[in-house]
This record gives sequence, C-alpha cells and structure tokens, in this order.
Amino acid sequence: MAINVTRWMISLVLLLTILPSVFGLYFYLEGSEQKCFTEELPKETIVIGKYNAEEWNESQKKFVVNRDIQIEVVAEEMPSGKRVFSQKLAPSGQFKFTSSESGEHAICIFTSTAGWFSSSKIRMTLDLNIRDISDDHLDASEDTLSGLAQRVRDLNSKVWEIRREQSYLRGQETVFRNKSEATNSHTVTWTIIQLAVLGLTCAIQLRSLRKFFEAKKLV
Amino acid sequence: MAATALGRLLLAAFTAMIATTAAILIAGFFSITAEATTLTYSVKANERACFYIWADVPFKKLGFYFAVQSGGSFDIDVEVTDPKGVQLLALERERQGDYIFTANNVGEHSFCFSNDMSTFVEKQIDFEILLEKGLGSDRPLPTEADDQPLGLHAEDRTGQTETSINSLDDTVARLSGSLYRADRMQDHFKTRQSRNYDTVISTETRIFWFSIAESVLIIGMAALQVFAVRTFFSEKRRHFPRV
Repeated sequence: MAINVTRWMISLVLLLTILPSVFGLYFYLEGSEQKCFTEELPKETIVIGKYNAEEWNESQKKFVVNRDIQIEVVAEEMPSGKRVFSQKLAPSGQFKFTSSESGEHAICIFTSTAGWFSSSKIRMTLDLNIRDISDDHLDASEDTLSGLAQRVRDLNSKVWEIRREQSYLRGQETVFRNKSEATNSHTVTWTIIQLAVLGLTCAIQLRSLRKFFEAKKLV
Repeated sequence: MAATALGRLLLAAFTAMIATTAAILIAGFFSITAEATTLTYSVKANERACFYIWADVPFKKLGFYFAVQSGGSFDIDVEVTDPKGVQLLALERERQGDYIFTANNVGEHSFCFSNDMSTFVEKQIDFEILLEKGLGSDRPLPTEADDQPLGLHAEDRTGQTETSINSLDDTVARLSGSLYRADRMQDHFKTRQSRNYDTVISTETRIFWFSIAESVLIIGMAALQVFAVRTFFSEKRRHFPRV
C-alpha cells in the first residue's frame, strides 16, 4: 500500500516536471518565428492574454521557463495596419489591451531576443480572453467565488461573447447586402454598355461597307 | 426538554449547512463545462500549422471544431494525432468539422492544419479546442441531439436545500449547453456569410471581365466581317462572286 502510494507520487512528480505549466492550448515557435491570430473586436473591448513561454533546455532535456527571454506581443488593426498595442514582456504572465476601433485585429506573439538564440524552440501556451470594458471588475474577485456563482459568471460572459459576434455578423451582412445590390446594378450597367458597343459597331460597320461599295461604284 | 429540542435544531441546521457546501463543491468540482480556446489563424500557402493540448487525465473528452473562413475553395487538410502517434482524425480538403474525441492517453495531442494544396492563397481558419474540466466522465459534451441536464447530482440528503441547489445546478448546466449550441450555430452562420460574400465578389469580377471580353469580341468580329467583305471584292479576283 505504501509502495503503491510512493510509486504513484513519484510518477506524478515526474509527470509534472514535463507538463506545460498551464493546461491550455499551446504551440511551438522556432527562433524568432511569429504566430498571428485574428480577432474581430468591437470598439473599446479589453483583450486579456495569459501566456507562458518555455524554452527547450538541452542539458535538462525539457522545457523550462527562461528568465532571460523576452516575449513581444503586437496588436494591429488589420486593414490600416495601425498598431494598437506593442509591448515586450517577461516569459510568463499576461498582457492586456483595449481596442479603440471596431474591426479585425491581428494579435502577433513572438520572441524578441534575436541573434544567437535563433535556434531555440519555445513552447508557448496562450489563452485569449475577450471582455467588455464594463466587466473589468470581475478580474479581482475571481478566486473567491463559489463554483455555482462562477459558472453563472461564465455564462454571462458567454452570452456577451455571442452578442459581440452577432453585432459583427450584422455589420458583415450590411456590407454583403450593399455589395450584392451593387453587383445587381452593375449587371444592368454592363449590359447597356455592351448594347451600346454593339450598336456603335453595327453603325460603323455599315457605314464603312457603304463607303467601300460607293467607292467601287456598285451602289 | 428545551435544551434537547434546541440541540436537535442546531444539529439539523449544522447538517444542512454541511450538506449544502458539499453539494456546491461536488457540483462545481465535477462540472462538465469544458475549458475552451477559440482562435482564428491564417494558414499561409504550403504551411503546416500545429496546435497542441495536454490531456492530464485519461478518458477526458476533447472537442474540436474548425471552419475555413476565407481563401480559395474554403477547404483545408486536417490531422489530429494522440500522444502515442495514433492518428485520431485525418481529413483532406474539408470545409468545416465538429468532432469529439476521447483522449485515451495522457500527453500531448496535436491538431494540425496544412495548406499544401494552395500555391499562394492563404486560408483563414476559425478553430476551437475544448478539453473537459474536472476528472473526466462518461457523459458526452453537449451536441445537437442532447437535451439532458449535464451536471452530476449530489446525494439527496436533507430534501429542500438539496433539491433547490440541484435544480439551480441543472438549470445552469442546461443553460450552458444551450449557449454552447447557440454559439456553434453562430459560427456556422459566420462561415456561410464569409462564403456568400466571396461568391458575390467573384460574381462582380466575372460580370466585369466577361462584359469587357464580349465587347472586344464584338468589335473584333465586326472588323473581321468588314475585312472579309472587302476581300470578296478585291482587284485580285478575276470575277465577282455571284450573289
């Protein structure tokens, strides 16, 4: 019984040493490679990103948090390329920024320690959280809530997310409808232009043939 | 007499309090709500982008949703591998998918998108990877056909407080499932919206270029006809063609 428990404890400890520190989605970055994610953000929305960067250590043969590396996070507005947020941060922590305009934003994350570190492999765990500016006070009291209240809070934020996507879809639908109507009117325009070209060509053709025949003294 | 009655009352209140806290803790701990990460990523031409998730406990449910938002014919190659290297899913040229796997092994599960079929078009993919929270269970994640409440029930011990906690928990769980479905439906609409917009732009471009091509063709044919008629009456011919 004691041996089983110890064996279980040892395997758990071993497992924990190779696990990523935060359970979540992660990906690998080679050297100064950057990975960008696009998000549709309405005006004045807070984006909170929790991340954890671990570097592959050859001597220890596992991923460890290296205090020397710096992670850079850049957020840009897609069509204009205007930088909304740019910061160099510690390898583990969170970043937070607020969108000023509504539209598509690109959030890029990469290691900014260039040069001879370029052969390093980084394991990046990322968790993006998008929140309304009025919900900011939730951050402080998260740990103290009981399970049920926390779930209701989660439902609340889920509803807000659905509404955010809905307003985005509505905007997209307006653009689509305008484009659709424009295409419809263009069909008419181009057909009329084609008929005009046809008529003009016909007239020029007949005139040139008549001139030709008159010159040939056949008419 | 009064003391024993008071004692009994206090005992009952204390038991009720313990039972309530136990129920809340159990309901929260075995919560079936999954931990989800939704991201939108642009896969460049000939790129293979992989995302990983760590399953710490065996037999947890892994939910995977992806949809191609824009680019080319809106399709992508997908490959899902489990820690032992076993391929859980391999799709070629799929537009969208919603899958649930059971992570039988502990370790790193990989979800890879590869855009080998495009030479220069980059594809924007919306994907969501869910990992069941808690210690795992044999209940599935909410699906289209699922209308059952999803929380596990704590033992019914004192009646009134238990059932009210239970029904609240059930309601929250059912709401969670419904919201998940609503969110998924919205994702489908978003993808279709993208495709429809792409179709309209393609229609516009086609109308424009086909009109130009037709006009050029008309002018060309007219010129050709005039030229042909002229050659019929040229001096090189001996006689005029009989009409």
